[in-house]
Amino acid sequence: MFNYFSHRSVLIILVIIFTILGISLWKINVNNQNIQINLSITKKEASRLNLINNLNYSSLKLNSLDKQRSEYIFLFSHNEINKEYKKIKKILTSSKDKYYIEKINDVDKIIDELDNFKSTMKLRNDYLFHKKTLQTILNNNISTDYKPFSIEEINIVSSWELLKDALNSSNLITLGELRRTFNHSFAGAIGSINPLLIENRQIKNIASGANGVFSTTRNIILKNIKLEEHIYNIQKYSFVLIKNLEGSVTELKQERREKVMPPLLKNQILMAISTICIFLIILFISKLLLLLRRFNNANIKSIGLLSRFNKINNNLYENPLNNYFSDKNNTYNEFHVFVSEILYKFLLRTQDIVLILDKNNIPVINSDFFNMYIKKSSYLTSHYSISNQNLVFTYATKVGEKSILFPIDYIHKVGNFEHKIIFLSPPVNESKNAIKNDRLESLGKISGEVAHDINNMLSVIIGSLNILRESKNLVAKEDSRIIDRALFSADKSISIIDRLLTFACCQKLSPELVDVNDLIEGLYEVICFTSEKNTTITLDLSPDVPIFYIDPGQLEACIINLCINAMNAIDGEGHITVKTSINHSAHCEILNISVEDNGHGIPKNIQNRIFEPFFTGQKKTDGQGLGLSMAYGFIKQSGGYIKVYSEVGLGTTMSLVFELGDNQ
Amino acid sequence: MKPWHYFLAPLFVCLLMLPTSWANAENHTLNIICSAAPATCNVLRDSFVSIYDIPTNIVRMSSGEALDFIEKNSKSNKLTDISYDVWWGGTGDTHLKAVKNGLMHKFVPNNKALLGWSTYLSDISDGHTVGVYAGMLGVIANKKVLTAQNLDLPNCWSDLGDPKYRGQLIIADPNTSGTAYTFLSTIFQIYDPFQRIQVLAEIKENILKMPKSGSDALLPVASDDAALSVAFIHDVPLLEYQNPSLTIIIPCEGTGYEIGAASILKSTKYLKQAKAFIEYTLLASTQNILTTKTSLQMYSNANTLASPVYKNRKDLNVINYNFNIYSRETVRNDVLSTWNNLGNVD
Repeated sequence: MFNYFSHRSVLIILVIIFTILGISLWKINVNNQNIQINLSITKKEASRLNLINNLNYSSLKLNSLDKQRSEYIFLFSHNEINKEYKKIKKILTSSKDKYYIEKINDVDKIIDELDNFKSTMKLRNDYLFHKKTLQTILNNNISTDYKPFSIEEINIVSSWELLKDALNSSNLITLGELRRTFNHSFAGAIGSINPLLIENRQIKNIASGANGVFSTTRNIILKNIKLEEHIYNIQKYSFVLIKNLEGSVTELKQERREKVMPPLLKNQILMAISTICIFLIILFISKLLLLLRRFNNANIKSIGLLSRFNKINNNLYENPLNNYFSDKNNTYNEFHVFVSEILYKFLLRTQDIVLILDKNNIPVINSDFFNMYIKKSSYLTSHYSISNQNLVFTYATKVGEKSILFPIDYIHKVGNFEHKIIFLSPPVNESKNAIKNDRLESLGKISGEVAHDINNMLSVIIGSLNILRESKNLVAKEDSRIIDRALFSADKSISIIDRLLTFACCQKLSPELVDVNDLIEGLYEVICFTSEKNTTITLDLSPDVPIFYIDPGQLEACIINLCINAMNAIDGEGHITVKTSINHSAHCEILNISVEDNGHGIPKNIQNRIFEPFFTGQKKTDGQGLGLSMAYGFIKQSGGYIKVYSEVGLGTTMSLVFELGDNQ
Repeated sequence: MKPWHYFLAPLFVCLLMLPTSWANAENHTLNIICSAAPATCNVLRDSFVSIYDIPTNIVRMSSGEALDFIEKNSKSNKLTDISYDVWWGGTGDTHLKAVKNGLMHKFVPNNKALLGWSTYLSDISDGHTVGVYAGMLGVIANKKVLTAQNLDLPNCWSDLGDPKYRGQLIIADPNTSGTAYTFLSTIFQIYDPFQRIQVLAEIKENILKMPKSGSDALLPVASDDAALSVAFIHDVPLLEYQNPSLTIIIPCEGTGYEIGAASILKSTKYLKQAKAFIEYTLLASTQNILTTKTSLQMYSNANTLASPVYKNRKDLNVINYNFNIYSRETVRNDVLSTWNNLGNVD
C-alpha cells in the first residue's frame, strides 16, 4: 500500500494508526469495566444454582424417607427434610432477588405437604399401634396348640388365621379378598356355634371385632398410599421449583450474555484493530530495521554523502538510497524507495543540512555554510551558481575573484519543488575521488594525444610495410616473413592504440539502437567459450530493459573485457552473473549492466587505479591493462559511468550505469 | 289409638304415593354408559329392569371413549340431546378425571359391605365415584410359542425387556388403551425415575406391535402368533379354555390393578333412579350374577363370591396403586410422553 501514497500520507496514516490504537485500547478498558459490572449477574446465577443444589439434596432425602417405615426414622428424616426446606425458604425470604420472593409460595406448598405428611404419618402410627393391639388380642385368643374338634371350629380357626393375614396385608386387593373369604367362612362358622360354650363366645367376640382388623389394616394401607402421595407431591413441587430455577438461571445467563456479549464482541473487534495497528507498526519498524541492516551490509557510505566529512563517490549524483534500492533484484524495491524517503527525512534531521534553496535558488537556511571554508570577512562579495552537478561558490577579494567548487551529492526537492535541499560534497580540491578523476582525465588527455600521434605514424609504417610486401622485388621468403612480423606487431600496436583512444574518449563510435539483452544473449556463447570449465556463467536479464542507443561493438568488447577480468579473478570454481536491470530514481530511469563474480575481489588500495591504462593487478597474465580503461572511456563517451563494488574474498560487481532520461 | 298411631296414616299415604312416583319415572328412560364387557352391561340392564321396572338404555363405550363423550357432551354444543345418567364400569382413573373436571354428581353408596379398594375410590373422589370391580394386571405368556423358540417364562416386569424376547411382546398403545396405561403407571410406581426409563426402553425394544386396545393385544398371543402380552388376568381364563398354552404370570415386583368405577353424571335428570341403579350393582346378589355369568373380576361387595381367578391369595402380589396421582392429567401426560419419547416400534 505504501506504493500508492506519498510519504506524507503514510506519515499521516501512521499517526492515524497510533490514534486508532490508542482509542481502541481506551475503549477496551471501558468495555472491560462494563463487563465487570454486568458479570455481577453471575452472582445471582451462582446463588440460584446453589439453591438448586439444596433442593436436589432435599429431594434425594425424600426418596429415602419413602422407603423408611419406622416411626422414629420417619420422624427423624421428616424433621431433617423439613429443616432443609425451611432453610431454603429462609434463603428465599432473606434474598433481595425478586424472583426468589415470587417462589416463596412454591416452597410453602412443599412445607405444607411435609406437614401433611407428618399428620398422615401420625395417624398411620396410631393405626399401627392399634394393629399391634389387635395382633396381641388375636395371638392371645388363638392358642397355637388349640385342636379344633369340629368342622365349624376348623372354619373358625381358619377365620382367625385370615384375620392375622389381614392385619399383615399390604395392599387393598389382598385385604379385600381376605375380607371376602373371611366373611364367607366365618358366616358359616357363626351359624353353627353353640352359644353356651365359653370359648365359642370368645371367638364370637373376636369375630365381631374383625371389622376393626379390616378397617385398621385398610387405614394403614390408605395412609401408606397417602404418604407416598405426599412424597410424590413434594418431589413434584421440588422438581418444578428446580426447573423454574434452572430456567431462571438460563434467563440470567442469557441476560448476562446479552449484556456482556456486545462489549466482549466490541473488545474482540477493538483487539483485532489494535492487533492490525500493532502489526502495521511492527511491519514498518521491521522494514526500517531491515533497510538499515541492508545499508550496513552494503557498506554504503551514502549517509556520509550527507555529510561533508565523509568519503564521496563521484558517480553518485542522485539520491544514494534510491541508487541502492534501484537494484531490480530487490523485491521490496518500491517499498524501499518509499522507506528510503522516510529514512532520508529522518537522516535530514540528524545530519547537517547543507543548504536549502527556494525555487529561485535563494538560500533559505544554512546560507552561512560557506563560512566553514572561507571566513566571511576575507572576501568582499560572493555569489554561487549551480552548473554541471557542481555548486560554484565565487567570492571577490581584493586580489581578485576566486571560486570553490562543491560537487553536488544530491538534490532533494521538497514542498512541491519550491524548495531544494542540496547536499554538497567537500570542495573538489579536498576530494581524493576528484584527484582520481583528474588523474584519469589527464591520463586520458595525454593518452589520447599520444595515441593519436602514434596512430598516425603507425598508419605510415603499416602502409609502407604493405607496399614492401606487395613489391615484386621481394623474392626471398625470409624477407616476407620479416615484413609480416613487422605488420603483425604494427597491427597489435594499432589495437593498443585503438584501446587507448577509446579510453581517451577519442574513438569514433557508431551508436545504433541496440537491444542490450539480445546483445548479451548473443555474447553468452563467446563468454562461455572463453571461460574455464569450473566457472558457471549466468544471465539475469530484466525484460524491462528498453532498446538503447549505443555502439554495439564497443559494448560487446566492454562486456567481454569485464567478463575476462571476472574470470581472471576466480580461482577454482566460481560463477559469473551478467545482469541487466532498470531502476527508477527520482529523476530518471537507470540502466544497469553489471558483471558480478565471486572471485578474490579488488583490494581497496588499488580500486582507484583500475581504470588507469596499463594498470593491472594480475601478475601472471599477459593482459595489457587496457580492458577496463577502454571500458571506462567508452562508457564515459556513451554518457554513462562505471560503478565498482568489490569486497576482497567475496567478489566484485562492475556496473555499467546509463541514465536513460529524466522521469519528470 | 296410641299417639304414634297417628303417624301411621301419613306414612301409609306416602308409601301409597311411592309407586306413583316410580310410575312417573317410567315415562323416562335411564340412560347408562357402560364401559364393562357387553355381556356384563346387558345382564345388569336386564336384571335391573326386571326388578325396578325402570326403562333403561345402555350404551357400550370404552373408558376413553366414554370420558371423551362425557367431556364433549358437557359443553354447550352437545353431541346428543340424550341425557345420560350413569357411567358404569371403565377404569377408575378415567372416572376420577371426569370427577376432577366437575362432570360427576356426588353420591356416597349406602352399602356398608363394600371392600376397602371400592371405598378408597370413593374417598379420593370425595364421594363422586365408587369402585365396583377390580382386576389385576399380569403377563400373559404362550408356553407353546416360547418353548418352540427355546425361551423361558418371564418372571418379572424387567424380564420383558430381555433381548431374548425381542419381537415376542405385544402391548397395546398406552395412549389409547387403559390396560397399557395401567401397565405403564405400574412400572412408574415400582421403579425409580432412572430405572423406569431403562426398563421401559428395553421393554419397548421387544414390542412386536402395539394395537389400540388391551383385548386386541391379547388375541395374537391366544392365536399362537406371539409369545407375551400384558393384560388383566380375569380376561384370560376364557381364552385359556380355548388355548391351554396360555399362562398367567404375576410379576415378581408386584403388579398394578384397575378398579372399575361407577358414577352418576352431573347432567342426570333422574338422580334417584341413577342412585338406585348403582346401589343395585353394588349388591352382593347382583355381583354374584356377574361373577358367575359374565366376568371374573373381583367385585366390590365383601359378600360377593370370590372370583376363581383371584382365589389363590399367594398370587395377590399387588402394589399400592395410587389412583389419585396417576389419574391426574399432568401425570398421565408425563407418563405417556415418557413412553412416546422412548423410540418407535417398527
